[in-house]
Amino acid sequence: MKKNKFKEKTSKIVKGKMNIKGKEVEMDIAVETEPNEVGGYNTRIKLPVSPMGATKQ
Amino acid sequence: MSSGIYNRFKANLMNKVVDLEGDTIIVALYDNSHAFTATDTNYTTTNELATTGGYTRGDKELAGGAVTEAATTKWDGTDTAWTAATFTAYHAVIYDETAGDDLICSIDFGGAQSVSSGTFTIEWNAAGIITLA
Repeated sequence: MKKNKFKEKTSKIVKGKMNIKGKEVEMDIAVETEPNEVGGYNTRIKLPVSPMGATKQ
Repeated sequence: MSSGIYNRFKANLMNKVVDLEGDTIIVALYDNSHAFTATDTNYTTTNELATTGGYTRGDKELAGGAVTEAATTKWDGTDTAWTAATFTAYHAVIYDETAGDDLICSIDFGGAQSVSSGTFTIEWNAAGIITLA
């Protein structure tokens, strides 16, 4: 079995950026990782609410 | 680099070029050299992840695309996943293959997001991928 980077499920919030009217503002993105049965790990990126609302452009 | 909607998509909406429920919409993954530029018009393989490690260029269709009409109208889709994947991605770009590979939007992952011998999933928010209010 391969050495696994993640021993258990983890969750973190990272800061992404979105462009609104030419300005960059931060948005929170949840990233979950969990080890799987083949010795690797799965990753799930949870995007925030409508990060690119067109009327906000 | 930031997320954003491409100007081409806004024009395509007004010119009745795109059908977000009927067209083939593709989700592509990019490396850290990708930068959102609103004036870009068409999908490119430049800075896209290579076809390896469970990723295939221009291959991942957004399933379940649906527009819900309301005061805030939304376009949503089924979560997008790559299985048996080993790669690192920094951005996703959505484009309309049916409309000549015209760009829709670019999404910043907030840094390097990796997967190893597993499933890499983008979970679209229930409130939609794009909204119009």
